[in-house]
Amino acid sequence: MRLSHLTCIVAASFVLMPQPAPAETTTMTTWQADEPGFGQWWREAIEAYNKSHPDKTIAMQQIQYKDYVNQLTVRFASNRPPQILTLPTDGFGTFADQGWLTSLDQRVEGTEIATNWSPLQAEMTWDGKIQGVLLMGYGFMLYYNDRLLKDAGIEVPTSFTEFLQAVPKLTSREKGVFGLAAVTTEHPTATLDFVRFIEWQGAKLIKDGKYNLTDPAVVKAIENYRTTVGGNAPLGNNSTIARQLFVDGKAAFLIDGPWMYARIEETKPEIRAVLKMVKAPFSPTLGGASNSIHIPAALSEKEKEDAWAFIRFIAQPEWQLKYTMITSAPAGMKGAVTPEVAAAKPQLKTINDAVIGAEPIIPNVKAIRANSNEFFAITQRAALRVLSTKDPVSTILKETQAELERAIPLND
Amino acid sequence: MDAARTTLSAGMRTEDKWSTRRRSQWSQRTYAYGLLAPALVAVMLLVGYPLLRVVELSFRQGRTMNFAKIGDLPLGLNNYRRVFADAGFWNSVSVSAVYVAGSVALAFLVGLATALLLNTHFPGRRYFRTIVLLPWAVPGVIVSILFLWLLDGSFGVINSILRNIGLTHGDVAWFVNEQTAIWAVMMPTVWKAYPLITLTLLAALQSIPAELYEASDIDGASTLQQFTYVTWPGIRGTAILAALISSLWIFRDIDIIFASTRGGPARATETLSLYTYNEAFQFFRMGTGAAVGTLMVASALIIAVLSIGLVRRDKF
Amino acid sequence: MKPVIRKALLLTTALLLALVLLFPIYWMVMTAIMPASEILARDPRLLPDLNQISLSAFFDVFDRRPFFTWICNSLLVSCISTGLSLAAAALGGYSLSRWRYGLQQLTGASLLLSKLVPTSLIIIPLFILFNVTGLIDTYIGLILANMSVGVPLATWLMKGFFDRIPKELEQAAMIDGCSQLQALWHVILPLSRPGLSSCGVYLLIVSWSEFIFARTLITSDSKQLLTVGIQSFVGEYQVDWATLMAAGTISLIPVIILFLILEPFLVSGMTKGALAN
Repeated sequence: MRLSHLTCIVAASFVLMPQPAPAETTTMTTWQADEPGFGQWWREAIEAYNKSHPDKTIAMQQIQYKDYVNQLTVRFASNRPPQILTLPTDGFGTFADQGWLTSLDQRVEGTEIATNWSPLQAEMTWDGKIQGVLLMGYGFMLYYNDRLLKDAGIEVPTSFTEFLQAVPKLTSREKGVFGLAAVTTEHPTATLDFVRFIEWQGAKLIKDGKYNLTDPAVVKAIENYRTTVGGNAPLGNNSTIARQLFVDGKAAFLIDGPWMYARIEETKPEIRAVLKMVKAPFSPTLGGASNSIHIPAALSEKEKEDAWAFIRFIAQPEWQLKYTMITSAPAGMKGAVTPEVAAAKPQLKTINDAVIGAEPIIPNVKAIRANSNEFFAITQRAALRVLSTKDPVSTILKETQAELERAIPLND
Repeated sequence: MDAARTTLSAGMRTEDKWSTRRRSQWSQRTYAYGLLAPALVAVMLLVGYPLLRVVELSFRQGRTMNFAKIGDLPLGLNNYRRVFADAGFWNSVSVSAVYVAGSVALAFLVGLATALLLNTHFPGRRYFRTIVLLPWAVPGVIVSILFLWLLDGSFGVINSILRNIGLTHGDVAWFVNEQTAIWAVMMPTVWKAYPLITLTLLAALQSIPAELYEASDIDGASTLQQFTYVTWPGIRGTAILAALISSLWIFRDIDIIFASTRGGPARATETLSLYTYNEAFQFFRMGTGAAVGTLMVASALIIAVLSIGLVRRDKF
Repeated sequence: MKPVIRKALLLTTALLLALVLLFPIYWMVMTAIMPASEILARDPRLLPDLNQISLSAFFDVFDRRPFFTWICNSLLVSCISTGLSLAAAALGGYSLSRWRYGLQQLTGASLLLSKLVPTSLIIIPLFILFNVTGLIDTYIGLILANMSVGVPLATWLMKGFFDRIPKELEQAAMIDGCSQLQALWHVILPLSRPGLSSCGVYLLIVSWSEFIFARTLITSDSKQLLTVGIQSFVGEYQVDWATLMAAGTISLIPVIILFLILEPFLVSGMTKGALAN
C-alpha cells in the first residue's frame, strides 16, 4: 500500500472515530439558544452555574424550533431522551400523556416554585402530578405601528369592537400596507386566532362541558374573523413571515405574545421608534403557559438530581429578575420586577402585568391537552376554510364541531 | 469492423466451451453475488431492517410510541381498519395521485425538452448544460422558502408580473386557495425534479448511434418521424426508469409541501406521506402511521414491478 | 434549414428556456444583493438597481454562523459517501449487467424497494439501530445513511451503462490472460467514464442536499451539515431574507464547480469510438 493511501486512511479514521463525551456533564436540550434575549439568558445562567458548581457541568444543545418537538419525539420513542429539556406548551400535554416526564411534586415542595410562582404553573400539572416548572407564562399583547395609525388618523383601540373597526381603515393594498399581520396558513397560531376571536367577542368555545361552535354568537364571531383577518391580512403567512412583515412596517397591528418585544428591540432605530406595544385591551385576559422545563422519567436518580440542581438554580429570584430583564418576557416567578426596574423599563412592567389574571387560551380540559395536536389540526383547518373559501361559516362550524366531538370527546 | 467481430466471436466460441468447463458454475455465482454484495448490504441494512420493524409495528395495537416495548403489544388489524375507515386517508390517496402524476408529467416534459435541446449543437451549449441542472442542487429548505416567497399572494414577484401583464387582478394567494394549492406545490417539485430526468435522458440520447440519424436523413424522414422511430425507441427504457424514480421520490417527499402549506388548506395538499407523518409525529399514532406507510410501500412496489417489466423488454 | 438559422433558433430556445427555468435562482440572487425595501415591495423591480447592490449579506452569512464549518463538514461527508457509493454501485451494476441469475436480478430489483419507503416512517427504528451500534453523532453513521439513499439508483444507472459496453471487450482481455476483475478495472471502467461521471454527479447531489438523516443523526454543533445549518436562518420570529438567499447562493458554488469539472466527461465517447478499437 502506498504511503499516500495509508496517510489518507489514518487521517480519515481520526476524523470518523466517535469522540468520547466529557465526564459529569448534564446536557440541556432547547430551541432557545439562538433566540434574541433567551439565548443570552441561558448562556449567562449556565456559565454562572458551572462556575459555582465545579464538580458539575451543564452544556446546552440547540435544536431548531421547527424540528424541535419531532426530534424529541424520535429520542423519547427510541429511549434515548435528553437529560433536561425545555418544551413549548403544545408539546407538554402529549409528552406527559405518554408518561415520558418525571413528576416533580416532592422536589418542588417548599421551594419558591410552590409558594411564589405564576398561577399559570397550574398548567404544569398532569394527572394530578406536577410534571414541569413553568419558565414563561404570558398574556397577549397588542403591537401596533404608531406611524401607520397616525397617518390614518386612528386612535389605539380600547376594546375589541374598536379594534375590528380600525383594522379595515388601515389596509391599503396598492401601497402594500395591511391592517393586520396574522397567521393565515395551516399553522398552530391560526388556532389561537380562531379561539381569540371567539372569546374576545364574548362567546365561548366550550360551554357546560360541551363544544359550543354552533352557538349563533360563535358563528357571528367567526364571520368577523373572516372579514377582518381574511380581508385585511396577507394570506399564506406562517407566524415567522407575519412577524417579519410587521417588523418591516407592512402591517398596522399584530397580536402576539410578549416575546415579540425582544425582537422589536433589535430592529433599526427608525423602525423601533414607531413599533409600540400595549397589553391587549380585550377581555377576558387571555394568555397561557408558553414554555417550561422538564426532566425525563427514564433517567437514573443521579441524573435527575443533577438536572434538578440546575432547575433550582435558575428558579432563584436573582435569575428570575435577570430573565425578564434580558428577554423582556414575563418571568415564572411572581413579582420578579422590582419597583426600581419597573421605573427604568416600564415595558417590563406592562409585560409582567399582562399575565395577571390571564386565562389559558386553550382550555385546560384534559382531553384537549392530551390530544393537543389533533385539536390544533382540526381548528386550523376550520380557520383556513373560513379564510380561503366562501362556504357559509355556520356550515363550517357545524362540521368542525362534529369532527371535534368524534376525535376528542369531552365527556370523560 | 463486423468482420473483425465475427472472427473474434468465432474464436471465442471454442474458447468459451473450454473455459466454461474449467470455471465452475460456483465461481461464476460467487462473482455475481459478491460484486452485488456491497450495494446490497449498504441499502438493506439501513432500509430493510427498519422497514421490517415498521411493518411489524403496523400490526400491533395500542400505545405504540415506545418502540422498545412494541413486542408487548397484541397483534391485530385495528390500525388498518382505522385507516380504511378514515375519509382523510382516501383524500390523501387522491391528492397523492394528482400530485405525483401531475408533477412527473410536467417534469418529464421539461426534462425531455431540455435533454433534446442539449443533444444538439449551439454556441454556449456547455454553459447551458451546467446551469440547467442547477435547480437540483439548491437545498430543499431554500427551494420551499423561495417558492413560498415567489408565489406569495401579496408580495410575490410572480403575482406582480401577472398583474402587470394583466392576467390577474388583485392578490392571488396560490397556496391558500383550495383549487390552486395543489398546482402551487407542484411548481417547486417540478423545478427540483426535472434536472435528474434531463441528466438521464441526455445520457441515453448520447448513446444513440449517429448513423441511425444519418440513415433516416438519407431516407428523407421529417423531424417528427425521426423522433418517433429513432429517438424514442432508443430512450424508452431510460425514460421509463427516470419517470419511475422521480415518481417514487415525489411520492415519498414531504419537505416541499410541509414547508409551504403543511397539507392545507383543508387537506387540499395532504399527500399520503404527509398523512403518515402527521399520524406518527403529530398524533402519536405510530401504529396507523406504520399501516399507511406499509400500504404506500406495497402499492409503490406493484407499480415499480410493472414498470421494470416494461423496461427489461428494452435494451437500454 | 440553413445551419446558421438552425443554430440561431436553437440558441434562442435555449435562452428562453433558461430564463424561465432559472428565474427562481435569479430571484434568489436578487434577494441576496438588493435591500429588503426593494424586494419586499408590492411590485418589485425585476432588474437590479445597480446603485443599491450590496454584498453585505454574503459576509453576514459567514459572520453570524459557522457557515464555513458547515460547508467543510458537508464536503467531507458528501465526498466520502459519493466515493464509497460509486464503488458499490459500479460493482453491483457490473454484476447485474454481466450475470443473469433469477435470484440475483430479483435481489438487484429489490434495491429499488428502499426508494419506496417514506423516510419519516423509518426514522425511529433507524435511530434506535444507530443508537445501539453507537453511531449517533458520528460521520460514519451519516455516510452509511447517505449511501443507502444514493446506491439504489446509481447501481441501476451503472447497469445501464455497462449493458451498452459489449461483453466481447472483456472476454478479449480475459483471453489475453486477465482475470475478470482485472478486465473490469483495466478495460471496462475507462470506457464507462460518462456513466461514472453521471452517477458521481447524481450521488454527490443526493448527498449534498440530504437533510433528514443529517438532522436526526448529528447532534453536536461542530459536526453540523450545511442543509441543516441553513434552516437556522429561518427563525421563529424572523426570516432574514437577504442572508438566507445569500446562503443559498453560496451553497450552489461547490456544485457549479463540480459540474464544470465533470461536464466534459458527461459527453459520451461511446458511440463509434470504442467499437472501432
